[in-house]
Amino acid sequence: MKQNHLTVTVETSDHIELQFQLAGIGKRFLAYLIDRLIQFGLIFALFLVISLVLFAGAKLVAVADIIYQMRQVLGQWIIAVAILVYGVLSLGYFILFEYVWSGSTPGKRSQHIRVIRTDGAPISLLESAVRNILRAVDILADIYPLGLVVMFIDSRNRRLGDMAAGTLVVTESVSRLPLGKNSARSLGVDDQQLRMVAATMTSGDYQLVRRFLARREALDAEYRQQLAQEIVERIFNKSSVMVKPSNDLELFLERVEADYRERLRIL
Amino acid sequence: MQTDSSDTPRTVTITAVRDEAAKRTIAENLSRITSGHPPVERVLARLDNLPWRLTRSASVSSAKKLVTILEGLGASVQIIPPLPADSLSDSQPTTAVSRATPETPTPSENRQAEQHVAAAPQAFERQDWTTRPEKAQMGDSGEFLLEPLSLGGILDRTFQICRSHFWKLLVIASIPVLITGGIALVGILVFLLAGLTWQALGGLPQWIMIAGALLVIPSIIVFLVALFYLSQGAMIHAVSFIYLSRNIVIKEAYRFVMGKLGRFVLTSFLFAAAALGFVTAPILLGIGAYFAFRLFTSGWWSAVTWPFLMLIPAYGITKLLLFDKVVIIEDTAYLAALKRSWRLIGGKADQGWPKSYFMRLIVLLHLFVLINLTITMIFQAPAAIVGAITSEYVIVARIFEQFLSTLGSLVGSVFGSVCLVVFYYDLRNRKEGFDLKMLASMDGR
Repeated sequence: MKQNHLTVTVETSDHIELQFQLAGIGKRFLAYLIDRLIQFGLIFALFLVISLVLFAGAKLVAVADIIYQMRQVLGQWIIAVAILVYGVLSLGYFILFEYVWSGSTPGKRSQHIRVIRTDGAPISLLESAVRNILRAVDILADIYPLGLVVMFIDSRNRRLGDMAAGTLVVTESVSRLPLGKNSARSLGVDDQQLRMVAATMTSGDYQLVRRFLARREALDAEYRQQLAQEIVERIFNKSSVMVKPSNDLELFLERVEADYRERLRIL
Repeated sequence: MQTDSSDTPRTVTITAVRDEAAKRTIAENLSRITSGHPPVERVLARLDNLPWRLTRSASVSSAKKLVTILEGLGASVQIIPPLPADSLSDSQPTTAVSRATPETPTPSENRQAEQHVAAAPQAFERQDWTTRPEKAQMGDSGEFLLEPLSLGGILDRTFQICRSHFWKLLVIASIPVLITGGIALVGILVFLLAGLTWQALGGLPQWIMIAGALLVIPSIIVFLVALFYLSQGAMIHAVSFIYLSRNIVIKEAYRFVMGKLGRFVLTSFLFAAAALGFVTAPILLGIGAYFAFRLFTSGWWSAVTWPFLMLIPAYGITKLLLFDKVVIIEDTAYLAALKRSWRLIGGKADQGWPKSYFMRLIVLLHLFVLINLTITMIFQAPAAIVGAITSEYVIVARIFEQFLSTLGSLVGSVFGSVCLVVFYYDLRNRKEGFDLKMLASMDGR
């Protein structure tokens, strides 16, 4: 099977090789945007809560006096604290999630990617902290100019934070099973012929049938019918069975797929 | 048979799982004994894609341990070079694992895979870890798997294509700029060498001036338009070839588009006319709304309808955005190309977000704007720095700024073209099963 992503092979201390698919720049960028949106939402919610509390509190004269006195005493410190809180939230969000969720954040999870160490192990708090502190260098004005350039140049799609912390961002595979339907409709070929056809199928044919069955619901009707016809033709051309299914082509493909899978299991 | 040495590294490969029922047990145990303890689901997914080369650098004792554990669990394991006969004589599982069901023959296709694995260690070299593009078993390089992609996947593929063929695509995009820049430079040199000035030109007879203007100006416009569309078409053709894992040659890309240039330009004019229509419609509707509101109240209350009316050109123009891909790739032109683009960017996906293909394009365009902003910043920042450093040499700073600005816009246009071509193919994969058709037409692969 051809692959279109970079993969990294990691040899553990037990001399076991693990292969990971590197996350692309696009998914990383999108995951970051989603995380930023969540952060802004949290900060806005916090700001709203504080505003409401102050607003409600100000209704009481005594509390209003206290708040006024605090402003006089603290002055610019309030702004400093606000900036600190913003920084802690921005940084802490990534560090906390990556440590607690084994390299994942909500944004990364939505894109099915995660951060791991170069030896394949989950990242530690230190590594999470290092890579996220250096994010400040990578992002510059929140649009990642330096990070983008570095990731584009690096063959492993790493930004400066990844290089410093010794981490990689990899993709988690999400598998989909074909949609099967149980139907008692007639096929137009008997079971014996069906098994003969399945016996001549290759793994390439099987993958094609499986992918078609998994995605057929999304296909436009005319193309769906056409494609089913082409796949059935392809399978039948390799077998000696002359009688082709006259009725439901997709049901035939479902049966053939199930039969092929069963054959592999028995073997 | 090669002489065994205890220092000779062993390649240990799982070639088959004898019983599907034991697969989970194998995965659990592998997850447990592996440093880092990868999730069982990940190991299971890997066991679905055998053969799995566990290591190429195991010592005899490590290989022996792995073999006894894995064979005990019900997996077929291959060691290259084979272990010495006496090393397995007292092989008993050292860990408490459940035994697999009685041995059964491996599937025939896994035997083919074993033969392939047996060939691999001839190029053995010790590796700690490395990143390498996993090449297809046929040995092709830089091939892309055709499949429906998420938004992140489309961006990933865009970056991959840009990275793997950056210079070729940049050259294709920059040819019109180089040609027009070259012509302008030559013109300036001719003027300077001939000692021509505007005063000298003003002394020419009027009929020469008018004839020159009537001939030269339209020619320049036609030439520039043709050059622009040539470049755009060549870019689409080149990206399409890259996406389909074919070799591209810059000259061939331009030659291909030359044959379709007339249709491409005319279809573009049709698109421009349609866009004008979409822009005019809300203006006319807005005027109508103004007079309608005037019947009851102030006409300016019709302003509440303006945000909705503005959606008309946004919707209409976006739906026609893929017309150029249709012209170049599908060889369909004029109204048919516009209709095809309209139909293509319609409907909903079964999975992913957003489900609507139209909204996907809108989100993608917004993401492209953000990335283009980043690209612009990458090129303008050095220009600003140089401008500040060379503030005494204004001309140098201006030339450098212009150069970087042009380069930035070219890189941005490359990215945008690639992104839209990948999106176009993604639509075809999802709606028409284009990738499945390609797979079905490949015989015997």
